[in-house]
Amino acid sequence: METAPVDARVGLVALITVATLLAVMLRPRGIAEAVSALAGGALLVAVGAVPPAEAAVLLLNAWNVFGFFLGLMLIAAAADHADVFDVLAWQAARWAGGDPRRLLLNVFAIGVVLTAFLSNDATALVLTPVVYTLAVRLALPVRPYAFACTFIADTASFLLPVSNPINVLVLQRFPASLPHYLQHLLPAALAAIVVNVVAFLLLFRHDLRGRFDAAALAPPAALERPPGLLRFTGGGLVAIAAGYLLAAWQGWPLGLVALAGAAALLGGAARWRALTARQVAREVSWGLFGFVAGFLLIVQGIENVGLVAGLGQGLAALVGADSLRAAFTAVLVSALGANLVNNVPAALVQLAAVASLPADQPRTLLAYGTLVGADIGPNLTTVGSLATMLWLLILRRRGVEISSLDYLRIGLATTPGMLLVAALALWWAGG
Amino acid sequence: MRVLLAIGASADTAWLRPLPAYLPAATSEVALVHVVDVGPRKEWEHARERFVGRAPLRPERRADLADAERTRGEATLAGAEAALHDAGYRGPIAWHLRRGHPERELVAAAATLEAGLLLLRARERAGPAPAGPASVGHVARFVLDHAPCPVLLLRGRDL
Repeated sequence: METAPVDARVGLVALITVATLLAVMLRPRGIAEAVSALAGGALLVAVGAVPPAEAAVLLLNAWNVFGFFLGLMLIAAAADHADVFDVLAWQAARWAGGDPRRLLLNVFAIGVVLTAFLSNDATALVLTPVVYTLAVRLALPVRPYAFACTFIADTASFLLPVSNPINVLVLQRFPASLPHYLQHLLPAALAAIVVNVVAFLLLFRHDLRGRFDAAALAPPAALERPPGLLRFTGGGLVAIAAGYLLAAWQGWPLGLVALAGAAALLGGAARWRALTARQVAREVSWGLFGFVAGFLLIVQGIENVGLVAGLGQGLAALVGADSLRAAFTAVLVSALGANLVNNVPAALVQLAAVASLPADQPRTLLAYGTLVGADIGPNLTTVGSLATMLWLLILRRRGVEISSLDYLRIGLATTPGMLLVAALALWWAGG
Repeated sequence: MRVLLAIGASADTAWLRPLPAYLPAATSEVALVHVVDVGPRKEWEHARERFVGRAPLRPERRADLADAERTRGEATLAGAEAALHDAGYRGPIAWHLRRGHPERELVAAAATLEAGLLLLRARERAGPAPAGPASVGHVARFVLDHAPCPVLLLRGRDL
Protein backbone atom coordinates (compact mmCIF):
# COMPACT_ATOMS: atom_id res chain seq x y z
CA MET A 1 0.00 0.00 0.00
CA GLU A 2 2.85 2.35 0.84
CA THR A 3 4.58 1.88 -2.48
CA ALA A 4 1.69 3.09 -4.59
CA PRO A 5 2.41 6.85 -4.25
CA VAL A 6 6.10 6.17 -4.87
CA ASP A 7 5.32 4.18 -8.01
CA ALA A 8 2.97 6.90 -9.17
CA ARG A 9 5.68 9.49 -8.70
CA VAL A 10 8.20 7.35 -10.59
CA GLY A 11 5.70 7.05 -13.42
CA LEU A 12 5.06 10.80 -13.40
CA VAL A 13 8.80 11.58 -13.48
CA ALA A 14 9.30 9.13 -16.34
CA LEU A 15 6.39 10.70 -18.22
CA ILE A 16 7.72 14.24 -17.77
CA THR A 17 11.21 13.14 -18.83
CA VAL A 18 10.02 11.35 -21.96
CA ALA A 19 7.71 14.26 -22.86
CA THR A 20 10.60 16.69 -22.47
CA LEU A 21 12.89 14.59 -24.64
CA LEU A 22 10.18 14.33 -27.31
CA ALA A 23 9.61 18.08 -27.19
CA VAL A 24 13.35 18.67 -27.65
CA MET A 25 13.46 16.20 -30.55
CA LEU A 26 10.38 17.38 -32.39
CA ARG A 27 10.18 21.06 -31.37
CA PRO A 28 6.35 21.18 -31.59
CA ARG A 29 5.03 24.57 -32.77
CA GLY A 30 8.63 25.73 -32.94
CA ILE A 31 9.04 25.69 -29.16
CA ALA A 32 12.73 26.22 -28.41
CA GLU A 33 14.64 23.31 -26.88
CA ALA A 34 15.64 25.47 -23.92
CA VAL A 35 11.99 26.25 -23.08
CA SER A 36 11.06 22.55 -23.20
CA ALA A 37 14.04 21.57 -21.04
CA LEU A 38 13.36 24.29 -18.47
CA ALA A 39 9.67 23.41 -18.37
CA GLY A 40 10.52 19.74 -17.81
CA GLY A 41 12.98 20.63 -15.04
CA ALA A 42 10.50 22.98 -13.37
CA LEU A 43 7.77 20.30 -13.51
CA LEU A 44 10.06 17.83 -11.76
CA VAL A 45 10.66 20.39 -9.02
CA ALA A 46 6.90 21.02 -8.83
CA VAL A 47 6.05 17.32 -8.40
CA GLY A 48 8.69 16.99 -5.68
CA ALA A 49 11.17 14.82 -7.58
CA VAL A 50 13.79 17.50 -6.96
CA PRO A 51 13.25 19.52 -3.76
CA PRO A 52 13.63 23.28 -4.41
CA ALA A 53 16.64 23.53 -2.06
CA GLU A 54 18.40 20.69 -3.88
CA ALA A 55 17.59 22.29 -7.25
CA ALA A 56 19.09 25.58 -6.12
CA VAL A 57 22.26 23.90 -4.85
CA LEU A 58 22.55 21.85 -8.04
CA LEU A 59 22.35 24.91 -10.29
CA LEU A 60 24.64 27.01 -8.09
CA ASN A 61 27.22 24.21 -8.10
CA ALA A 62 27.16 24.31 -11.88
CA TRP A 63 28.46 27.92 -11.89
CA ASN A 64 31.76 26.72 -13.36
CA VAL A 65 29.97 25.07 -16.29
CA PHE A 66 27.76 28.10 -16.98
CA GLY A 67 30.68 30.51 -16.57
CA PHE A 68 32.69 28.42 -18.99
CA PHE A 69 29.88 28.41 -21.58
CA LEU A 70 29.49 32.18 -21.33
CA GLY A 71 33.23 32.85 -21.48
CA LEU A 72 33.61 30.52 -24.44
CA MET A 73 30.94 32.27 -26.48
CA LEU A 74 32.26 35.73 -25.65
CA ILE A 75 35.83 34.75 -26.57
CA ALA A 76 34.66 33.38 -29.93
CA ALA A 77 32.64 36.56 -30.55
CA ALA A 78 35.62 38.81 -29.74
CA ALA A 79 37.91 36.76 -31.99
CA ASP A 80 35.32 36.84 -34.77
CA HIS A 81 34.92 40.63 -34.61
CA ALA A 82 38.70 41.08 -34.63
CA ASP A 83 38.73 39.07 -37.90
CA VAL A 84 41.06 36.44 -36.45
CA PHE A 85 39.23 33.69 -38.33
CA ASP A 86 39.43 35.61 -41.62
CA VAL A 87 43.19 36.08 -41.25
CA LEU A 88 43.68 32.39 -40.45
CA ALA A 89 41.62 31.29 -43.45
CA TRP A 90 43.48 33.71 -45.74
CA GLN A 91 46.83 32.36 -44.51
CA ALA A 92 45.57 28.81 -45.04
CA ALA A 93 44.88 29.67 -48.68
CA ARG A 94 48.30 31.31 -49.15
CA TRP A 95 50.13 28.41 -47.56
CA ALA A 96 48.31 25.91 -49.77
CA GLY A 97 50.34 27.00 -52.80
CA GLY A 98 47.35 26.69 -55.15
CA ASP A 99 46.71 23.05 -54.27
CA PRO A 100 43.06 22.35 -53.22
CA ARG A 101 44.13 19.24 -51.25
CA ARG A 102 46.65 21.21 -49.23
CA LEU A 103 44.03 23.87 -48.59
CA LEU A 104 41.71 21.18 -47.22
CA LEU A 105 44.50 19.92 -44.95
CA ASN A 106 45.19 23.49 -43.79
CA VAL A 107 41.48 23.99 -43.04
CA PHE A 108 41.53 20.78 -41.00
CA ALA A 109 44.63 22.00 -39.13
CA ILE A 110 43.04 25.35 -38.27
CA GLY A 111 39.83 23.55 -37.28
CA VAL A 112 41.72 21.22 -34.95
CA VAL A 113 43.57 24.05 -33.17
CA LEU A 114 40.50 26.30 -32.89
CA THR A 115 38.34 23.44 -31.64
CA ALA A 116 40.97 22.35 -29.13
CA PHE A 117 41.18 25.76 -27.48
CA LEU A 118 37.98 27.62 -28.42
CA SER A 119 35.57 24.64 -28.58
CA ASN A 120 33.55 23.00 -31.31
CA ASP A 121 31.01 25.84 -31.38
CA ALA A 122 33.67 28.32 -32.52
CA THR A 123 34.75 26.08 -35.39
CA ALA A 124 31.30 24.97 -36.50
CA LEU A 125 29.54 28.31 -36.13
CA VAL A 126 32.24 30.93 -36.75
CA LEU A 127 34.97 29.31 -38.85
CA THR A 128 32.59 27.56 -41.27
CA PRO A 129 31.08 30.71 -42.86
CA VAL A 130 34.56 32.22 -43.21
CA VAL A 131 35.92 29.12 -44.95
CA TYR A 132 32.77 28.83 -47.06
CA THR A 133 33.22 32.40 -48.30
CA LEU A 134 36.90 31.72 -48.95
CA ALA A 135 36.09 28.68 -51.10
CA VAL A 136 33.52 30.70 -53.07
CA ARG A 137 36.03 33.50 -53.70
CA LEU A 138 38.65 30.97 -54.83
CA ALA A 139 36.14 29.37 -57.24
CA LEU A 140 36.54 26.04 -55.45
CA PRO A 141 33.77 23.51 -54.68
CA VAL A 142 32.49 24.61 -51.27
CA ARG A 143 31.27 21.26 -49.94
CA PRO A 144 34.63 19.69 -48.96
CA TYR A 145 35.74 22.80 -47.08
CA ALA A 146 32.46 23.64 -45.36
CA PHE A 147 31.94 20.00 -44.37
CA ALA A 148 35.54 19.79 -43.14
CA CYS A 149 34.87 22.61 -40.65
CA THR A 150 31.64 21.18 -39.28
CA PHE A 151 32.99 17.62 -39.05
CA ILE A 152 36.36 18.44 -37.49
CA ALA A 153 34.54 20.65 -34.96
CA ASP A 154 33.09 17.44 -33.51
CA THR A 155 35.92 15.04 -34.26
CA ALA A 156 38.58 17.20 -32.57
CA SER A 157 36.33 18.18 -29.69
CA PHE A 158 37.76 15.84 -27.07
CA LEU A 159 41.41 16.77 -27.53
CA LEU A 160 41.24 18.90 -24.37
CA PRO A 161 38.72 19.41 -21.57
CA VAL A 162 37.84 22.83 -23.06
CA SER A 163 37.24 21.58 -26.59
CA ASN A 164 33.53 20.86 -26.11
CA PRO A 165 31.05 22.07 -23.45
CA ILE A 166 30.07 18.39 -23.01
CA ASN A 167 33.60 17.66 -21.71
CA VAL A 168 33.18 20.20 -18.93
CA LEU A 169 29.87 18.60 -17.98
CA VAL A 170 31.53 15.17 -17.88
CA LEU A 171 34.46 16.43 -15.80
CA GLN A 172 32.06 18.17 -13.42
CA ARG A 173 30.68 14.72 -12.61
CA PHE A 174 33.91 12.72 -12.95
CA PRO A 175 36.77 15.11 -12.06
CA ALA A 176 40.10 14.17 -13.65
CA SER A 177 43.54 15.77 -13.88
CA LEU A 178 44.79 16.93 -17.27
CA PRO A 179 47.44 14.16 -17.51
CA HIS A 180 44.77 11.55 -16.71
CA TYR A 181 42.43 13.06 -19.29
CA LEU A 182 45.11 13.19 -21.97
CA GLN A 183 46.42 9.72 -21.19
CA HIS A 184 42.97 8.25 -21.80
CA LEU A 185 41.61 10.47 -24.56
CA LEU A 186 44.47 11.90 -26.61
CA PRO A 187 45.15 8.69 -28.60
CA ALA A 188 41.43 8.34 -29.36
CA ALA A 189 41.17 11.99 -30.44
CA LEU A 190 44.20 11.78 -32.72
CA ALA A 191 42.99 8.49 -34.23
CA ALA A 192 39.53 9.93 -34.93
CA ILE A 193 41.05 13.05 -36.53
CA VAL A 194 43.23 10.92 -38.82
CA VAL A 195 40.22 8.84 -39.90
CA ASN A 196 38.22 12.02 -40.54
CA VAL A 197 40.95 13.62 -42.68
CA VAL A 198 41.73 10.47 -44.69
CA ALA A 199 38.03 9.78 -45.29
CA PHE A 200 37.52 13.32 -46.62
CA LEU A 201 40.54 13.12 -48.92
CA LEU A 202 39.06 9.94 -50.39
CA LEU A 203 35.41 10.99 -50.53
CA PHE A 204 36.13 14.38 -52.09
CA ARG A 205 39.08 13.33 -54.28
CA HIS A 206 37.26 14.38 -57.48
CA ASP A 207 36.49 17.84 -56.05
CA LEU A 208 40.08 18.44 -54.99
CA ARG A 209 41.69 18.29 -58.41
CA GLY A 210 43.16 21.23 -60.30
CA ARG A 211 44.72 24.42 -58.98
CA PHE A 212 43.54 27.73 -57.55
CA ASP A 213 45.06 31.19 -57.51
CA ALA A 214 45.41 32.50 -53.96
CA ALA A 215 47.05 35.68 -55.23
CA ALA A 216 43.65 36.81 -56.56
CA LEU A 217 42.33 36.81 -53.00
CA ALA A 218 42.12 40.24 -51.34
CA PRO A 219 43.70 40.38 -47.87
CA PRO A 220 41.16 40.43 -45.02
CA ALA A 221 40.03 43.83 -43.76
CA ALA A 222 41.92 43.32 -40.48
CA LEU A 223 45.23 43.49 -42.34
CA GLU A 224 44.26 46.79 -43.96
CA ARG A 225 43.61 48.43 -40.59
CA PRO A 226 46.10 49.39 -37.85
CA PRO A 227 47.19 46.05 -36.37
CA GLY A 228 46.45 46.89 -32.70
CA LEU A 229 43.20 44.94 -32.23
CA LEU A 230 44.34 41.90 -34.23
CA ARG A 231 47.61 41.66 -32.29
CA PHE A 232 45.89 42.17 -28.95
CA THR A 233 43.23 39.54 -29.69
CA GLY A 234 45.75 37.07 -31.12
CA GLY A 235 48.00 37.48 -28.07
CA GLY A 236 44.98 37.23 -25.80
CA LEU A 237 43.88 33.96 -27.41
CA VAL A 238 47.34 32.45 -26.93
CA ALA A 239 47.29 33.56 -23.27
CA ILE A 240 43.80 32.07 -22.81
CA ALA A 241 44.97 28.77 -24.35
CA ALA A 242 47.90 28.69 -21.91
CA GLY A 243 45.53 29.61 -19.07
CA TYR A 244 43.23 26.72 -19.95
CA LEU A 245 46.11 24.25 -19.92
CA LEU A 246 47.41 25.58 -16.60
CA ALA A 247 43.94 25.53 -15.04
CA ALA A 248 43.23 22.00 -16.28
CA TRP A 249 46.65 20.92 -14.99
CA GLN A 250 46.11 22.47 -11.56
CA GLY A 251 42.43 21.56 -11.29
CA TRP A 252 41.31 25.21 -11.20
CA PRO A 253 37.81 26.04 -12.48
CA LEU A 254 37.89 26.47 -16.26
CA GLY A 255 34.96 28.86 -16.04
CA LEU A 256 37.13 31.43 -14.30
CA VAL A 257 39.77 31.30 -17.05
CA ALA A 258 37.13 31.59 -19.77
CA LEU A 259 35.39 34.54 -18.09
CA ALA A 260 38.67 36.36 -17.34
CA GLY A 261 39.87 35.80 -20.92
CA ALA A 262 36.54 36.98 -22.32
CA ALA A 263 36.65 40.12 -20.15
CA ALA A 264 40.14 40.93 -21.40
CA LEU A 265 39.28 40.38 -25.07
CA LEU A 266 36.04 42.36 -24.80
CA GLY A 267 37.97 45.16 -23.08
CA GLY A 268 40.30 45.23 -26.08
CA ALA A 269 37.38 45.17 -28.50
CA ALA A 270 35.81 48.12 -26.65
CA ARG A 271 39.13 50.00 -26.66
CA TRP A 272 39.33 49.65 -30.47
CA ARG A 273 35.54 50.12 -30.86
CA ALA A 274 35.15 46.77 -32.64
CA LEU A 275 32.18 45.48 -30.67
CA THR A 276 29.17 47.08 -28.97
CA ALA A 277 27.34 45.73 -25.93
CA ARG A 278 24.33 44.95 -28.12
CA GLN A 279 26.48 42.94 -30.53
CA VAL A 280 28.01 41.05 -27.60
CA ALA A 281 24.56 40.15 -26.26
CA ARG A 282 23.51 39.02 -29.73
CA GLU A 283 26.47 36.66 -30.07
CA VAL A 284 25.63 34.68 -26.93
CA SER A 285 23.46 31.56 -27.30
CA TRP A 286 21.38 32.30 -24.20
CA GLY A 287 19.16 29.30 -24.77
CA LEU A 288 22.03 26.95 -24.01
CA PHE A 289 21.98 27.96 -20.33
CA GLY A 290 18.30 27.12 -19.95
CA PHE A 291 18.75 23.91 -21.90
CA VAL A 292 21.59 22.66 -19.70
CA ALA A 293 19.94 23.87 -16.48
CA GLY A 294 16.71 22.09 -17.42
CA PHE A 295 18.45 18.81 -18.11
CA LEU A 296 20.58 19.03 -14.95
CA LEU A 297 17.30 19.17 -13.02
CA ILE A 298 15.70 16.39 -15.06
CA VAL A 299 18.65 14.05 -14.58
CA GLN A 300 18.68 14.81 -10.84
CA GLY A 301 14.96 14.04 -10.76
CA ILE A 302 15.30 10.67 -12.42
CA GLU A 303 18.26 9.88 -10.15
CA ASN A 304 16.23 10.79 -7.06
CA VAL A 305 13.36 8.45 -7.92
CA GLY A 306 15.71 5.58 -8.72
CA LEU A 307 15.16 5.46 -12.49
CA VAL A 308 18.84 5.93 -13.24
CA ALA A 309 19.81 2.85 -11.24
CA GLY A 310 17.73 0.80 -13.68
CA LEU A 311 19.55 2.40 -16.61
CA GLY A 312 22.86 1.69 -14.87
CA GLN A 313 21.92 -1.97 -14.50
CA GLY A 314 21.02 -2.10 -18.17
CA LEU A 315 24.36 -0.54 -19.06
CA ALA A 316 26.19 -2.99 -16.79
CA ALA A 317 24.41 -5.89 -18.48
CA LEU A 318 25.51 -4.60 -21.90
CA VAL A 319 29.08 -4.08 -20.74
CA GLY A 320 29.61 -7.37 -18.93
CA ALA A 321 33.11 -7.91 -17.54
CA ASP A 322 35.03 -7.02 -20.68
CA SER A 323 36.76 -3.61 -20.85
CA LEU A 324 36.81 -3.61 -24.67
CA ARG A 325 33.07 -4.18 -24.67
CA ALA A 326 32.76 -1.41 -22.08
CA ALA A 327 34.57 1.08 -24.32
CA PHE A 328 32.52 0.19 -27.41
CA THR A 329 29.22 0.14 -25.52
CA ALA A 330 29.77 3.52 -23.87
CA VAL A 331 30.85 5.19 -27.11
CA LEU A 332 28.14 3.71 -29.30
CA VAL A 333 25.23 4.12 -26.83
CA SER A 334 26.22 7.73 -26.23
CA ALA A 335 26.57 8.42 -29.96
CA LEU A 336 23.18 6.84 -30.59
CA GLY A 337 21.62 8.96 -27.84
CA ALA A 338 23.26 12.08 -29.27
CA ASN A 339 21.64 11.37 -32.63
CA LEU A 340 18.26 10.33 -31.25
CA VAL A 341 17.77 13.42 -29.10
CA ASN A 342 20.76 15.68 -28.48
CA ASN A 343 24.20 15.06 -27.05
CA VAL A 344 23.71 17.11 -23.86
CA PRO A 345 20.80 15.11 -22.37
CA ALA A 346 22.21 11.87 -23.79
CA ALA A 347 25.55 12.42 -22.06
CA LEU A 348 24.00 13.63 -18.78
CA VAL A 349 21.68 10.62 -18.50
CA GLN A 350 24.42 8.15 -19.44
CA LEU A 351 26.84 9.72 -16.96
CA ALA A 352 24.26 9.43 -14.20
CA ALA A 353 23.81 5.76 -15.12
CA VAL A 354 27.58 5.24 -15.01
CA ALA A 355 27.81 6.99 -11.63
CA SER A 356 25.20 4.60 -10.22
CA LEU A 357 27.34 1.56 -11.01
CA PRO A 358 29.36 -0.16 -8.27
CA ALA A 359 33.06 0.70 -7.95
CA ASP A 360 34.19 -2.60 -9.45
CA GLN A 361 32.80 -1.54 -12.83
CA PRO A 362 35.13 0.39 -15.24
CA ARG A 363 33.43 3.69 -14.48
CA THR A 364 36.25 5.91 -15.75
CA LEU A 365 36.34 4.08 -19.07
CA LEU A 366 32.56 4.31 -19.34
CA ALA A 367 32.57 8.03 -18.51
CA TYR A 368 35.24 8.78 -21.09
CA GLY A 369 33.43 6.58 -23.60
CA THR A 370 30.27 8.60 -22.97
CA LEU A 371 32.23 11.77 -23.68
CA VAL A 372 33.69 10.40 -26.93
CA GLY A 373 30.31 9.21 -28.23
CA ALA A 374 28.58 12.48 -27.32
CA ASP A 375 31.36 14.53 -28.96
CA ILE A 376 31.79 12.64 -32.25
CA GLY A 377 28.25 11.22 -32.45
CA PRO A 378 26.54 14.34 -33.87
CA ASN A 379 28.61 13.93 -37.04
CA LEU A 380 26.45 10.93 -37.94
CA THR A 381 23.34 12.90 -38.83
CA THR A 382 24.80 16.37 -38.28
CA VAL A 383 21.42 18.08 -38.13
CA GLY A 384 21.42 17.02 -34.50
CA SER A 385 18.92 14.29 -34.23
CA LEU A 386 17.67 11.31 -36.09
CA ALA A 387 14.16 12.57 -35.52
CA THR A 388 14.91 15.76 -37.45
CA MET A 389 16.52 13.68 -40.16
CA LEU A 390 13.50 11.37 -40.43
CA TRP A 391 11.23 14.39 -40.59
CA LEU A 392 13.32 15.85 -43.41
CA LEU A 393 13.13 12.54 -45.27
CA ILE A 394 9.33 12.47 -44.89
CA LEU A 395 9.16 16.02 -46.26
CA ARG A 396 11.30 14.99 -49.19
CA ARG A 397 9.02 12.09 -49.98
CA ARG A 398 6.17 14.55 -50.02
CA GLY A 399 8.05 16.57 -52.61
CA VAL A 400 9.21 19.38 -50.32
CA GLU A 401 12.65 20.61 -51.29
CA ILE A 402 15.23 19.76 -48.64
CA SER A 403 18.96 19.52 -48.56
CA SER A 404 21.00 17.88 -45.77
CA LEU A 405 21.15 14.56 -47.56
CA ASP A 406 24.74 15.22 -48.57
CA TYR A 407 25.60 15.77 -44.93
CA LEU A 408 23.84 12.55 -43.99
CA ARG A 409 25.65 10.66 -46.73
CA ILE A 410 29.06 11.94 -45.60
CA GLY A 411 28.14 11.41 -41.95
CA LEU A 412 27.08 7.81 -42.50
CA ALA A 413 30.23 7.14 -44.53
CA THR A 414 32.71 8.57 -42.03
CA THR A 415 31.29 8.59 -38.50
CA PRO A 416 30.98 4.85 -37.79
CA GLY A 417 34.68 4.44 -38.62
CA MET A 418 35.63 7.37 -36.40
CA LEU A 419 33.56 6.00 -33.50
CA LEU A 420 35.01 2.50 -33.79
CA VAL A 421 38.62 3.68 -34.06
CA ALA A 422 38.15 6.10 -31.15
CA ALA A 423 36.56 3.37 -28.99
CA LEU A 424 39.44 1.03 -29.77
CA ALA A 425 42.04 3.71 -28.93
CA LEU A 426 40.18 4.56 -25.72
CA TRP A 427 40.23 0.91 -24.67
CA TRP A 428 43.93 0.63 -25.58
CA ALA A 429 44.85 3.77 -23.63
CA GLY A 430 42.82 2.73 -20.61
CA GLY A 431 44.19 -0.79 -20.52
CA MET B 1 15.39 32.51 -81.33
CA ARG B 2 16.90 32.98 -77.90
CA VAL B 3 19.23 30.13 -76.94
CA LEU B 4 19.76 29.55 -73.25
CA LEU B 5 23.25 28.29 -72.42
CA ALA B 6 23.67 26.83 -68.92
CA ILE B 7 27.06 27.66 -67.39
CA GLY B 8 28.17 25.51 -64.48
CA ALA B 9 30.41 26.48 -61.57
CA SER B 10 33.61 25.12 -63.12
CA ALA B 11 36.13 27.72 -64.27
CA ASP B 12 36.94 25.47 -67.25
CA THR B 13 35.70 27.12 -70.48
CA ALA B 14 37.44 24.89 -73.03
CA TRP B 15 34.18 23.03 -73.61
CA LEU B 16 32.67 26.21 -75.14
CA ARG B 17 35.16 26.21 -78.05
CA PRO B 18 33.12 24.02 -80.44
CA LEU B 19 29.82 25.49 -79.25
CA PRO B 20 29.05 27.87 -82.15
CA ALA B 21 28.70 24.81 -84.39
CA TYR B 22 25.73 23.67 -82.29
CA LEU B 23 23.90 27.00 -82.34
CA PRO B 24 20.91 27.06 -84.75
CA ALA B 25 21.12 29.56 -87.63
CA ALA B 26 18.04 31.32 -86.21
CA THR B 27 19.86 32.21 -82.99
CA SER B 28 19.11 35.85 -82.14
CA GLU B 29 20.72 35.91 -78.71
CA VAL B 30 22.67 33.60 -76.43
CA ALA B 31 21.46 33.94 -72.83
CA LEU B 32 24.20 32.76 -70.49
CA VAL B 33 22.62 31.48 -67.28
CA HIS B 34 24.62 30.69 -64.17
CA VAL B 35 22.94 29.55 -60.98
CA VAL B 36 24.57 30.07 -57.60
CA ASP B 37 23.78 26.72 -55.98
CA VAL B 38 22.19 27.32 -52.57
CA GLY B 39 22.29 23.61 -51.68
CA PRO B 40 25.59 23.57 -49.74
CA ARG B 41 24.61 26.74 -47.88
CA LYS B 42 21.25 25.25 -46.88
CA GLU B 43 22.96 22.08 -45.69
CA TRP B 44 25.29 24.08 -43.55
CA GLU B 45 22.40 26.16 -42.17
CA HIS B 46 20.69 22.88 -41.20
CA ALA B 47 23.89 21.78 -39.49
CA ARG B 48 23.85 24.96 -37.37
CA GLU B 49 20.42 24.03 -36.02
CA ARG B 50 21.76 21.44 -33.63
CA PHE B 51 23.60 24.10 -31.63
CA VAL B 52 20.96 24.98 -29.07
CA GLY B 53 20.16 28.67 -28.87
CA ARG B 54 22.65 29.41 -31.65
CA ALA B 55 23.27 33.06 -32.42
CA PRO B 56 22.30 34.04 -35.97
CA LEU B 57 25.02 34.62 -38.52
CA ARG B 58 26.40 38.18 -38.31
CA PRO B 59 24.96 40.55 -40.94
CA GLU B 60 28.52 41.39 -42.07
CA ARG B 61 29.21 37.71 -42.68
CA ARG B 62 25.98 37.31 -44.66
CA ALA B 63 26.84 40.36 -46.76
CA ASP B 64 30.39 39.09 -47.34
CA LEU B 65 29.10 35.69 -48.41
CA ALA B 66 26.51 37.23 -50.77
CA ASP B 67 29.21 39.47 -52.26
CA ALA B 68 31.53 36.47 -52.77
CA GLU B 69 28.76 34.50 -54.49
CA ARG B 70 27.84 37.40 -56.78
CA THR B 71 31.47 38.16 -57.65
CA ARG B 72 32.20 34.52 -58.44
CA GLY B 73 29.01 34.18 -60.49
CA GLU B 74 29.83 37.28 -62.53
CA ALA B 75 33.39 36.06 -63.10
CA THR B 76 32.03 32.72 -64.30
CA LEU B 77 29.68 34.45 -66.78
CA ALA B 78 32.44 36.81 -67.94
CA GLY B 79 34.73 33.82 -68.56
CA ALA B 80 32.01 32.07 -70.56
CA GLU B 81 31.32 35.19 -72.65
CA ALA B 82 35.02 35.62 -73.43
CA ALA B 83 35.29 31.94 -74.40
CA LEU B 84 32.29 32.27 -76.75
CA HIS B 85 33.89 35.29 -78.42
CA ASP B 86 37.16 33.40 -78.77
CA ALA B 87 35.22 30.53 -80.34
CA GLY B 88 33.99 32.89 -83.05
CA TYR B 89 30.46 33.71 -81.90
CA ARG B 90 29.74 37.36 -82.68
CA GLY B 91 26.01 37.64 -81.92
CA PRO B 92 24.44 39.28 -78.87
CA ILE B 93 25.08 37.73 -75.45
CA ALA B 94 23.08 38.40 -72.27
CA TRP B 95 23.97 37.44 -68.66
CA HIS B 96 21.53 35.97 -66.18
CA LEU B 97 22.84 35.30 -62.67
CA ARG B 98 20.34 33.45 -60.48
CA ARG B 99 20.37 31.85 -57.01
CA GLY B 100 18.68 28.61 -56.06
CA HIS B 101 18.75 24.96 -57.01
CA PRO B 102 20.42 24.84 -60.46
CA GLU B 103 18.01 22.35 -62.02
CA ARG B 104 14.91 24.29 -60.99
CA GLU B 105 16.37 27.68 -61.83
CA LEU B 106 17.42 26.57 -65.32
CA VAL B 107 13.91 25.33 -66.07
CA ALA B 108 12.42 28.53 -64.66
CA ALA B 109 14.86 30.68 -66.66
CA ALA B 110 13.97 28.83 -69.88
CA ALA B 111 10.31 29.64 -69.26
CA THR B 112 10.86 33.26 -68.19
CA LEU B 113 13.20 34.05 -71.07
CA GLU B 114 11.02 32.17 -73.56
CA ALA B 115 14.05 30.25 -74.76
CA GLY B 116 13.73 28.38 -78.04
CA LEU B 117 16.52 25.98 -77.09
CA LEU B 118 18.34 25.11 -73.88
CA LEU B 119 21.94 23.94 -74.16
CA LEU B 120 23.71 22.31 -71.26
CA ARG B 121 26.79 20.23 -70.73
CA ALA B 122 26.61 16.72 -69.31
CA ARG B 123 28.51 16.14 -66.09
CA GLU B 124 32.17 15.30 -66.62
CA ARG B 125 33.07 11.77 -65.68
CA ALA B 126 35.90 9.38 -66.33
CA GLY B 127 34.96 6.62 -68.78
CA PRO B 128 31.65 5.94 -70.49
CA ALA B 129 28.39 6.98 -68.85
CA PRO B 130 26.69 4.16 -66.97
CA ALA B 131 23.41 2.81 -68.33
CA GLY B 132 20.21 3.70 -66.51
CA PRO B 133 19.14 6.73 -64.49
CA ALA B 134 22.72 7.65 -63.55
CA SER B 135 23.66 8.19 -67.20
CA VAL B 136 23.34 11.94 -66.61
CA GLY B 137 23.68 14.01 -63.46
CA HIS B 138 20.68 15.11 -61.41
CA VAL B 139 20.68 18.65 -62.85
CA ALA B 140 20.64 17.44 -66.45
CA ARG B 141 18.08 14.76 -65.59
CA PHE B 142 15.69 17.33 -64.12
CA VAL B 143 16.19 19.76 -67.00
CA LEU B 144 15.65 17.03 -69.61
CA ASP B 145 12.45 16.00 -67.86
CA HIS B 146 10.98 19.43 -67.15
CA ALA B 147 12.33 22.05 -69.56
CA PRO B 148 9.58 23.93 -71.46
CA CYS B 149 11.67 23.95 -74.68
CA PRO B 150 13.92 21.58 -76.67
CA VAL B 151 17.11 20.64 -74.81
CA LEU B 152 20.47 19.87 -76.36
CA LEU B 153 22.73 17.93 -73.99
CA LEU B 154 26.38 18.27 -74.95
CA ARG B 155 28.69 15.47 -74.05
CA GLY B 156 31.96 14.09 -75.26
CA ARG B 157 35.67 14.44 -74.62
CA ASP B 158 35.98 17.67 -76.64
CA LEU B 159 33.33 19.42 -74.62
